[in-house]
Amino acid sequence: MHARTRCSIPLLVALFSWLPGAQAADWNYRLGEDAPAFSLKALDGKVLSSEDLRGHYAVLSFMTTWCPFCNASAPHFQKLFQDYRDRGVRVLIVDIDEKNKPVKAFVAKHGLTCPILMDADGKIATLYAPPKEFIPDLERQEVMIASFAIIDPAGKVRFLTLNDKPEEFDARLTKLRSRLDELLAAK
Amino acid sequence: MRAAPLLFLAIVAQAANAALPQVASVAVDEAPTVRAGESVTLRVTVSVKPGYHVQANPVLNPALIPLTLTVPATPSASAGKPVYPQAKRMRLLGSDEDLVIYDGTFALEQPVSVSKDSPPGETTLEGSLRYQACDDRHCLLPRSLPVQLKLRVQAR
Repeated sequence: MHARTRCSIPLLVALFSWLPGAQAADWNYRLGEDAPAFSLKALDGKVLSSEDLRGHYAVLSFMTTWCPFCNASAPHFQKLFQDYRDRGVRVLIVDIDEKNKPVKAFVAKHGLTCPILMDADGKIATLYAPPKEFIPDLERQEVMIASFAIIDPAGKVRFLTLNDKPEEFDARLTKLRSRLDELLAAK
Repeated sequence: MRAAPLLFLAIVAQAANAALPQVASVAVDEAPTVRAGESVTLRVTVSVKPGYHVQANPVLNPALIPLTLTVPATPSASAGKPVYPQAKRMRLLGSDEDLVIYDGTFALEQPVSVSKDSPPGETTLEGSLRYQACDDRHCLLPRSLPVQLKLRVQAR
């Protein structure tokens, strides 16, 4: 290989690694970033915004009623809501792009009593989603279905799981609880 | 004039669905020859991309979206109730309920009746197959595939 070509190759690699698309695999899952702001109407008609969560740890579940992963984790999410309520943790569901009727049926089936925020057009879910280069085969809403986030009292993201790693889905939310316990212990 | 905005919305919705990449494909038996007034069953073969599965029909949890073949009638022919294959069972880690699913390649049986007055020649029923797929990590938005059922009609 020509000497000039040998020198050019590392330069090209460095150049391409700087481009946004090439860094997709290193996405930071928004850790430490300000959580995207939202103001959504809940199933009960009340409006809840991200500002209302300030001063508390908050756990968000992004879901749809037809998603099997979401149905599997729903009872465990309800238990999490009950277990952490007295510790000041705000636990809520963000339903992506659905009408009230199926969500009400979902609430009844799983006995959910946590707030259910209606992200009617999926825009909030999309704000939390990674850039298009990350899991590029999926729509941004699809990436967020069955994902979970922990936001700290200052509004920063402290945990985000997208089930993108092999065998990561666990309906019992073991990793989510573990991380929440770590954060609460460090307060 | 009232229908125009609705038609526009329908076209936009169809275009949006069309933009979603498919993880399944459909093939239908070659057009059988059938006499006017008689019935035939067509096999509709579905192939799901490796790594994915689709919710079966019927589903165990009514909130889930079952694989559904819908074929509107025409003046020449009408489709009966499709017969769906036996499903496989699986359970997600930590879940209290089984899921029933299809994966790989499988076939539905679609009965079709030709009307007594159907003229001879080729006739086509335009249907759609709706499905909702997941892999081991993500669930995809529901998608639809066009399905054409073709028949060669002979006079009675």
